[in-house]
Amino acid sequence: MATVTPNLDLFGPLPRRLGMSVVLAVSAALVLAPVLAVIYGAFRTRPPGAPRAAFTLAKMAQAWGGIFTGGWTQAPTVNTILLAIPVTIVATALGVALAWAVTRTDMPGRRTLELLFLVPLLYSPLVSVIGWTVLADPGAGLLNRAWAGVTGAHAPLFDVYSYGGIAFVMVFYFAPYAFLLCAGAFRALDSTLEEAAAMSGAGLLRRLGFVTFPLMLAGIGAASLFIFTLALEQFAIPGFLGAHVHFDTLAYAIFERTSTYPSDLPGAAAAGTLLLVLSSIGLYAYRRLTRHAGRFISVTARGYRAVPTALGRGGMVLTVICAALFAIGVALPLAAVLLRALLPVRTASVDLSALGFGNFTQLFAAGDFLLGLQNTAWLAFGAATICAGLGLLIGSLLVRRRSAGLSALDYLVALPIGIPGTVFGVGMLWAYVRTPLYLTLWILLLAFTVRYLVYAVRTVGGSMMQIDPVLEESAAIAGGTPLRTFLFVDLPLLKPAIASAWLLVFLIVMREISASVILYGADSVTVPILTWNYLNDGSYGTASALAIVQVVAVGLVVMLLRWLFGADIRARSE
Amino acid sequence: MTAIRIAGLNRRFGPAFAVEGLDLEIAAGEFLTLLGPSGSGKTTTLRMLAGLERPDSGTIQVGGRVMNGPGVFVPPHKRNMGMVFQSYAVWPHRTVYQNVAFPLRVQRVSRADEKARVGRILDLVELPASDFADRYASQLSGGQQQRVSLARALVADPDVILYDEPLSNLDARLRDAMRTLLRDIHGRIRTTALYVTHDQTEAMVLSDRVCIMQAGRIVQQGTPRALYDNPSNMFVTEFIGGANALPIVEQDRARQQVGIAGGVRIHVANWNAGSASRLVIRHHHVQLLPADATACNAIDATVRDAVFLGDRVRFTLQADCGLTLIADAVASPGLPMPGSRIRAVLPAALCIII
Ligand SMILES: Nc1ncnc2c1ncn2[C@@H]1O[C@H](COP(=O)(O)OP(=O)(O)O)[C@@H](O)[C@H]1O
Ligand SMILES: [Mg+2]
Repeated sequence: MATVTPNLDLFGPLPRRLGMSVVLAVSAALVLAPVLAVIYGAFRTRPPGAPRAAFTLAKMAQAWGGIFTGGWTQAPTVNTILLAIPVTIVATALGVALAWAVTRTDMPGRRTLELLFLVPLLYSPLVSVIGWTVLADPGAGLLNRAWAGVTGAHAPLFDVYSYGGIAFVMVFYFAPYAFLLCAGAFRALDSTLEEAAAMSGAGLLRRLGFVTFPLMLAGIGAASLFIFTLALEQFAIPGFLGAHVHFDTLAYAIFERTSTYPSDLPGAAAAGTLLLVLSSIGLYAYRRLTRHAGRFISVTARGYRAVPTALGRGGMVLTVICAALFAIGVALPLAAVLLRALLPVRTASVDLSALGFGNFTQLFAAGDFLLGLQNTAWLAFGAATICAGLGLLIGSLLVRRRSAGLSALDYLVALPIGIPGTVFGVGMLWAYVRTPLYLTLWILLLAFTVRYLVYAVRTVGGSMMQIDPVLEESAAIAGGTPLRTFLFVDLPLLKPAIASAWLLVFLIVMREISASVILYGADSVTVPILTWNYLNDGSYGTASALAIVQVVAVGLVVMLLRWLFGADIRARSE
Repeated sequence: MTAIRIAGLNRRFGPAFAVEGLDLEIAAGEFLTLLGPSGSGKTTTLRMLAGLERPDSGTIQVGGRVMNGPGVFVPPHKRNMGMVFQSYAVWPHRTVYQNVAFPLRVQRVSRADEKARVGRILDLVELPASDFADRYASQLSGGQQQRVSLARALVADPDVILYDEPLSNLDARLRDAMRTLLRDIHGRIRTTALYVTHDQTEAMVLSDRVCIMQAGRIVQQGTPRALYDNPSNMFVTEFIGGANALPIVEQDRARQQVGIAGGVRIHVANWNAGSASRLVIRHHHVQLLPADATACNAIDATVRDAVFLGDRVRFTLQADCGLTLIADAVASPGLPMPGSRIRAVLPAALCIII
C-alpha cells in the first residue's frame, strides 16, 4: 500500500470497506442475475410466472442432445460455427493487413484511409443488411440486374441470401473491429526491431515473417478471438438474410423461440446455454492469450519514433487496393441504402427522376418514429453517461489501488462480455419479468449499463495507467486533499478518455439490437428495433430512410465529441 | 583508401533542416564519431547512411558503390552494414542465438559455419554461447542485450558498422565497461565505423577522428587531441572539455599579445585564428603561483572558492581586473585556501585565440 499513492483514498478505511461490500453485492446481483436466470430457465417447463411451472431436464436434453440427434438446435449450432470460424479468419486477416498498411508503411493516403476504415463502427449491422439486400438480392438486386443486363445471364452474380452472402456481409462488418484492435497493437511495435532486421540484410517479406508478425501474434490472436465472440452472437445479419433461405444461427433461433407463437422461453434459455458455452470458450482463450501478451510486447525505449516501412512504388498499388476494399465493403452498401431511401418503390432499374424524400416524410409521419428516436437517444445518452461515470470511478480506483474487493469487481464487470446479446436478453427477461421494469425503457437501460460498463472501465483505466503517480504525489505534497488532487490533476488528463468511453458506449447502444429485440415493448421501441421491424414488414424504403437518419445522427455526435473533448474511439485500450 | 564518401547531404523535416549540406569522408578501417548535442542531426545522418532515411539531396558512396544519388537508392538490406541501436532492438521473441545468427541465415551460410561464427562472435562480446545462446532476449539485462545487438551487427562481417548512442541507456559503470569492450573489439577487427554520441568521453576514448555537429552541420573535425588543443570556436571549446573564455579588448598581432580587461596583457605563442575575440584557456592549464612570485602572463586574483573533486581541486578565482577564472589543480597538500591572494598564470603555449 505504501508504494501506491495514498491519494485516491477518498473515504476513510471503515466506510470504504463497508461501501465496497455494498458495491460488490449490488454489482454481483446485477451481473449474475441474467446469467443465473438463463441457466435456471433452461431447467423449467414453462416461462416465469406461468402456473404449474416445474423443473425438468427435457429442454436441456433437447437443446444439447439435439445437436447430435437432429434436434431443433442441430442446424443452428452447425451454422453458427460454420459461419463464425471462416468469418473470423477472413475478417481478422483483412483487418491485420489493413492495419499493417496504415500503421507501418508510408502508403500514400494512409491517414485518410485509417479514418475511412473505421466508418462501419458507426453504423448498425442493419445498414449492411439493407445495403447488400438492395445490391445483391438474387432477383431485384442492382448488381445482379446490371449483371443480367450486361451478360444476359439469368443466374444472379451474387446472391446475398446464401451462406456465402451472409459470410461476405459479416466479414466486411467485422473487419473494422479487427483493424481497430490490430492498429493499436501495430503502433505499439518499436520500429527499430524491424530496422534491425533490415540492417541484418532481410528484405520486406523476410522482415514481416521473422519480426513483425511473430511479435504481433498475440495481438492478432486476441483480435481474432474477439471477432469470434462477435460473430457467434451476431443476430441481425445472419438473422435477416438467413431467414430467406431457412439458414438459422443460434442467436436467431433463440430470438425465434421467444417471439413466434407459441413461444418457448425455456427452450430459448436452453439454447442460450449452448451459445453461452461456445462464447465462453472463445473468451477463455482470449483471456489466456492476453494474459501472457506482456512477453511479446517490446518495451519502447527512449529516442524511439515510429518510422514507416518505405514501399516505394508499391505504396500506390496498396493505396488502390485499400481504396477498392473501402469502396466495396463500405461505400457501396452505404450508397445503396441512401439510394433506396430516396427511391419510392423497389425498382429493378434506377429511375433517377423518381428520386425524392417520400420515404422520409412517410417515416416522420409514422407514430413510433419520434418515440423510437427519443427512446434511443435517451438510452444511448443515459447508458453512456452512467457507464462513463462509473467507468471513471472504477477504472481509476483499479489502477491506483489493489484490493481483493476491487479485483472481484473488475472480474464481475468484465463477465458480461462473454454473454451473447440474445442470451443476455433472455436472461434479463427471465430475471425481471415480474418486476415493474419489464417492458419499460428501464430494463433496457439496466441491460446496456451492465453489459457495456466494462468498455468504459477499460478505456479510463488504460488512460489512468499512463498518468505518472508522481503527478498526484506532487499535488499531495503541495497540500491538496485526495479529492482535490484527483479533480485537479487526474480529471483534466482523463478527459479525452472519459469522452472516448462515453462515445464508445453511446455507439454500441445506438446500434444494439440483439438484446433489445427480446426486451422491448410497445413503449420502448428503439431505432434499431424499428428498422428491424420495417425490414421484416418489407418496408425497405422506410427502413433505409431510418438507417440514414441514424447514420447522420451518430456521425454528428461523433464529430461533436471529437471537436469538443477530443474523443476518439481509437483511444480504447484492450 | 576512402571507404565512405558523403557529399552535399540534406534532409529536412518540415521547414527545418535536420542535416544541411553535410560532406564527410571516412577512411577504410577508421573509427569516426559524430559528436553533438541532442537534435543536432547525428541520428538523421547515420540513418541516411544506413538507408533507413532518405536524404532530400546529396550523394552517399560506400566502397566506390553509389548508395544514394540522383535516381539511385540502395535499400538498407542491400548495403551490407551492421547497426547497433540505442534501444538495442534485440528481438524479444527470439533467443540470443537466433538473434545473432539471423544475418547469417539471410546470407544462407551453412549451418556448421553459422554455428562457429556465432560462437566466435559471442565470445568476442563476452557472452559465452554455452551460457547465453538459448536465453530469450527478455531474460537479459540491458548491458547483455547491448552485447547481443553488437554481436548481431558484427557477425556477418559488414563493410561498415553504425552505432547510434549505443551506451546512453546503460548505467555509468556498465557504460565504462562497454566502452572499453568496444575499444578492444575495434582494435582487433578494424571495421570502418561511424559512431554517434553526445558524450565527449565516449568520443575521445573510441575515435580516430571526431566530427562536431551543430544544427545539422559539421562545425569542426579532427583527432580528439587536435579538437581539444585547437578548437575553432566557442561551441567546440565548450563541448570538448570546457575552458575559460576571456574577452579580448585589444590585440597586437605583431608582438603576439592580446589585452584583456583591466589592461592586462597576455602573450600568446600560437595565433592561428583570423579574427580574435576570445582568449581561451583550459581550466587545468591555469597555474597558481604565490602572490609574490614573478612570472609573465600572470593575473593577480583572490581565491573565492575551492571545491575538492577527488583527483583535483577546482578553484574559482576573482581577478583584480574584474574577470572570473576557473582553475583546476591536482589535489595535493599546500594548495591555496579560499580568501588567499594568488597569481594565476596563463602559459603562452597553452593559450588559444578564437
Ligand atoms: N522523423 C522526424 N520527424 C520530424 N522531425 C525529425 C524527425 N527526425 C528528426 N527530426 C528532427 O531533426 C532534428 C535532428 O534530429 P536527430 O538527427 O535525431 O538529432 P540527434 O540524433 O543529433 O539528437 C531534430 O530537430 C529532430 O527534431
Ligand atoms: Mg539521436
